[in-house]
Amino acid sequence: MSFDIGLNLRNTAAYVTDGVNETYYTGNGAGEDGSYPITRGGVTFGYTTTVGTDDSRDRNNAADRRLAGMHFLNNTGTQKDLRLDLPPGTTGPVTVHIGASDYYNNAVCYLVIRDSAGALATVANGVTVVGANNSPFVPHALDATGAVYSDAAWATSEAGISVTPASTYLLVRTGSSSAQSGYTALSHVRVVQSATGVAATGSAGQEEGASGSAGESIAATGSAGSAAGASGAAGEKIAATGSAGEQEGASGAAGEAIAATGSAGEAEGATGNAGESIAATGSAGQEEGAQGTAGSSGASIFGSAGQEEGAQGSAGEQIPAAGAAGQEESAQGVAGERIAVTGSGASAAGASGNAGEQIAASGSGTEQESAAGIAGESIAASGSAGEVESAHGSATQTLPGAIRELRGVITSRTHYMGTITSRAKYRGVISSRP
Amino acid sequence: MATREEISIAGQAIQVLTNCQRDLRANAQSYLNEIAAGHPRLTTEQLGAIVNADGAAISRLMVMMTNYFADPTRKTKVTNGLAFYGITFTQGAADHNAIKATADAQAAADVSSDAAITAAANATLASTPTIDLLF
Repeated sequence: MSFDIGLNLRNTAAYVTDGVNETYYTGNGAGEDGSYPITRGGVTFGYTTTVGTDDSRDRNNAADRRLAGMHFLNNTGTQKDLRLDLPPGTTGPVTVHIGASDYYNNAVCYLVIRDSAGALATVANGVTVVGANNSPFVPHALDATGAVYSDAAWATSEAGISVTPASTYLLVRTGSSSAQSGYTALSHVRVVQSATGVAATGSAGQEEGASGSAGESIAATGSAGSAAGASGAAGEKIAATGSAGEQEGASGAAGEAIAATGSAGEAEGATGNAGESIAATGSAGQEEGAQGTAGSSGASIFGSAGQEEGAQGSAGEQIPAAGAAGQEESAQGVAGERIAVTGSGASAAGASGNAGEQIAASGSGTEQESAAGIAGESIAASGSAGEVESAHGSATQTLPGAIRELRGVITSRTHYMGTITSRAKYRGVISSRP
Repeated sequence: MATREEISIAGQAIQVLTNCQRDLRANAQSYLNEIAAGHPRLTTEQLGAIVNADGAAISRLMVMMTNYFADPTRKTKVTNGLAFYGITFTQGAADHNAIKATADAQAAADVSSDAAITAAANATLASTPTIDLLF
């Protein structure tokens, strides 16, 4: 699911016009909106306590609508929570944007984003945000990362932060926890979730279906034939796109993402880069080629024509792998967050690994595959005979319930994609393992 | 004699019902105003989505209350607290059910056109009594 909720804090509803996905909150002093629950614009929100009175102000309706007004709370040591209910079914990370500004006066901001379990992120802990009445006589605003910009720069440069609430709501706690000077101002709160969770569609035959969840989610779509398609983005997500035939394609980006592209036939290819990422490219026929680069990744994999496979990895969080001719595979990885893989005979694929964030897998038999992973942020996978493959991944930050199921895609190959806390890992057809 | 906790719980329940009743009416009027003004802020589609979402959000609050007071201990507390205000649990439940029915209807209302949204808003106004507020 995706949503975009914006809340503009001011004193008078009609002072400015809110954006499409926004509504306003006039606070819970006398004559104002009141305390939680206020429902407007499809959102339920409000302060959960009545600390502070007459704390809403309209400041400048020529300013950005999001910073036109503000609510403030003196930093006396008594804090106040602004609750914002999340849409039903929200899971995984959301991005929170903040605008904290008093157009005219200096504010000293203490802001913490919380859920029912406690603090998720501290936005500001005594950060002074200068108003237009004070040198340099330009109004400023603080964003969710704690950065302070001029109001004009905030409008174009403010950035959100990602948090993963455990509850069905978020709280923005304002004010200092002990007596401090000044007051905390808050003008704008926005919560966004895009491409949340995992959208997956698949159907009978050789289609593929996949599901995952937000954050380190996997988004996947598959279509008829042997096609596989998946797309995801950001964080430790896995993005993949696939198309007809037995092609596979995958692309990922950013952070610890996995990027992969594949092409026609039974080819597989993947390329990865940056950070701990994995990149691989493959080509037609049954060849496989893979290369990994950079950062801690250091996975280098080479495959060649026929059904041969060979792979090598190197130091750091490297993945060493070795494969041999025919349909055999063998691979071993060691140390750290390694991936260890062993395989043998026919179309069989086997792998075993252990410790850390390892991926362990073992498989045997003609077209069968089985894989099991253990421990830590491990990924466990199991597959069965025929053209069916199934994989289950689980990990601390990853893939709770994230299941990617493959059916009928490239009979003698195993595909696995998982994401682990500190890296993304991708395992392509039989031997492509970063 | 109701305890302070019981009175507080009842007070919170009354506050939630009051807020929802107020918001149903205020929101419905704002939908009508948006249409009457020629959609200065939201398209029909955007407004319709908000109409449904507002109904669903208030319905969820009502469900939260139902779930909370399904616990016999909590029900006893709120019943005792409501008695302090001279209200029976049955009366409170009737108000709750009326709000939920209105919210549910709005959540499921046809919002495909201005006329449909207008009808939905008017239905909400018709089934939601005005409530006098201190502020």
